[in-house]
Amino acid sequence: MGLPALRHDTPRRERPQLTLVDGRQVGDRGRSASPKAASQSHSARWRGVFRTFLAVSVLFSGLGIARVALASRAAAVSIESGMLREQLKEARFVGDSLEIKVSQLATPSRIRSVATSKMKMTPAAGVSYVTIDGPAKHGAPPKPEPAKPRAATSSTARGAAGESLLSSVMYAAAGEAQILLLGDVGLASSR
Amino acid sequence: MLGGVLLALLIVGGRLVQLQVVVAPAYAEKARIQRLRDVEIPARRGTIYDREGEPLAVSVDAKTVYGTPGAVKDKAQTAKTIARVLGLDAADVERRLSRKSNFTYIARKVPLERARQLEALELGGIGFLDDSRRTYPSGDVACQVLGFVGVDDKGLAGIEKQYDDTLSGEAGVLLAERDPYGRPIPGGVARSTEPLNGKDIVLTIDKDIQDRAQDELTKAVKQYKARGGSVLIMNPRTGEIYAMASMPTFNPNSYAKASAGAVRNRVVSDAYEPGSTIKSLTAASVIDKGVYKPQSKLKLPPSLTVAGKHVGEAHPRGTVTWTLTEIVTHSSNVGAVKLGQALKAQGLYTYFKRFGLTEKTGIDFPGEVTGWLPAPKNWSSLSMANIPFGQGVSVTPLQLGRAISAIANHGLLPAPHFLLSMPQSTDVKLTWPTERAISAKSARTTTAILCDVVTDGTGSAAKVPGYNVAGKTGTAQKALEDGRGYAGGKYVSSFIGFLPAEDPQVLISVIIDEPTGAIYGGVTSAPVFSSLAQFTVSHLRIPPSPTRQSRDASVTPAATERKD
Repeated sequence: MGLPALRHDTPRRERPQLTLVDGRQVGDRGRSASPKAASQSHSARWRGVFRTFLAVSVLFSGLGIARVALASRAAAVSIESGMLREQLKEARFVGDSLEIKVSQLATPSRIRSVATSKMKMTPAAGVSYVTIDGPAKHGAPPKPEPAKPRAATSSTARGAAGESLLSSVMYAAAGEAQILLLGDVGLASSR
Repeated sequence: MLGGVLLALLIVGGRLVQLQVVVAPAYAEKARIQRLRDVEIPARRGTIYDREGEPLAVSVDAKTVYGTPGAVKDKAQTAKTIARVLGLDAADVERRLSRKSNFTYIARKVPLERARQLEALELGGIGFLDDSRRTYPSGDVACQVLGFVGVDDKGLAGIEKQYDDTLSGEAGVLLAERDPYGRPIPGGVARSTEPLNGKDIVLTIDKDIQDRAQDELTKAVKQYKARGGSVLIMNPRTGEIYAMASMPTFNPNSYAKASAGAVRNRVVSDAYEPGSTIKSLTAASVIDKGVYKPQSKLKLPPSLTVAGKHVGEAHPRGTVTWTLTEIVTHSSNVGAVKLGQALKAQGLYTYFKRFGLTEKTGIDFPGEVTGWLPAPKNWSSLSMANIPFGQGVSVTPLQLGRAISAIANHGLLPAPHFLLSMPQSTDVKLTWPTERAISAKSARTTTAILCDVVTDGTGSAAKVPGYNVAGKTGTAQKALEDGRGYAGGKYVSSFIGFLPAEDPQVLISVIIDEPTGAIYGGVTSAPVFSSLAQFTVSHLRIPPSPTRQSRDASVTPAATERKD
């Protein structure tokens, strides 16, 4: 025979009643319940705050140091550029002064005065013209003239040699006169 | 008691809040404005060079010395020190330092060496600003051409004024923090704009030729105890001016001491009655018109009467029959009037207008004037009795030089100018247009006649060994200031010519104002022309004429001559 049938009545599950409980009450209860755990969590919080403060401090310090470094570098560069500017101005002033000096030395009236007083030169009494053959091209060796029949007289050959000697003498004299009149400064700007 | 302390603290605290928070921005702004100053950074003025690269006007660094009167403790002693170093009047300096202001100029454009000596003394209340000083290294060479600049480096006369925009550049600005003495605080610069320096210019002037022109003119004016004079040397083909001189001169380095007469450029700004030099234009006109040829003969009585006015010769003679060439070579007034009558008033005026005598030349120089030649409708009955030989009409030396250049330049009027190039402006192209005055053939024919003036006529003192010279003398009575008649015994003597005649490259005009002792252009001015021409062709390396000009032969055209 079997056991009598049993009806299992599952009781309806009731919804649990939940209520929101204030934390402090819990903490209080917790403290009162566990003071050690409460102080540990408090310390952890403060440690976090301190770490955050440190990090921010380090960041601001870094920014501040960088800013000061940049500012001091900018000031140093500014001073350097000022010094360079002054050096450039000085160099330009020296250049201008030299240019003026050269121009003053090369003033025709001064040259005339030096020529007459120191070199005892006088204006030419008259002017005549001598035709002189132009110089050979620069760098090119002088071309040897082809042999010609000896139709020219010796006086013509002497005349041609005399003209080239005259041009050499005139060129050398002009160079000497320039040195005496202008000096080294004048030669530097001579054309 | 406690309440009182609290009240006091409250008041102080409230004031602190007001100063630090409420009005702080306004005070900070005031302090910033006080510290920050806009300081102009002067631009360097461009240099003026002659055609061979010689500097004629240069700007060099200098300093402006200023004072802050309130900061100067011992004004008398400071003034003495400054006066000793800078060479100023101590009383004047002390007067400036005693002014009731925060800023006073003591000296401007002080040479750098002297400013540095003063700076080294570290005088309280004395500051220094960057400045520049214009220097003319060659003194009075080309002084009237160059002009000068004022204390603020602005051109006031001459080329300095004409090309002031090009030479000036643009000043920069420095916004800097400065202490009460005006010294910049390092690192306190807010912003700066660099100055744009002025550009250099190169003139057509040749310093050596210019100096020679001034020297020769000075000698001639002194020799003939003249009132003044002028010389123009130019290239008749291109219009480039090699030299332009006027007497008396001045030193542009101290222009404040110059007289008004010395500063004036007479070649450009003085009109005068040219006299017989105009006969070259009258002859060119009748030839171009086809009325006469060089060999055309005219019967010339000793004198003419035109509208009641008696026209005679400088050297009385009998009745002659002269060719057109002889009329010019002998500088016959009667002959010139007959030539003018052949052209008639309108024809003469038209040709003189074509030669540019009724307009300015347009030269790049300030203050140019034009002469006086009214339209024929305004001529009197006596005009035809004197205009053909250069009286009753006035021109500037530059106008006449340009007109004669047309004869030298195949009939083309050049454009006289000073500017040769602007080295830093390579994109600027300079063009100087020409205008046709007469035909090239007429110009050649007239040149041959003018050569005869030098070989056989009144201009024989203008000869230049080795060169064919063409030119014309002039001896004109000087008009009275009010224009009513002529001053007795006062003349303007002149010679204008060009060489080499077969390929003209140099034109020279010499004018002596009121010479005494000798009055004829052929005596006073022609020798000056000869000397200057000799120097100029030698300096410019212009070769001598290959063939000498004969009396009746026409001038052989040069290989580079342009066709009509």
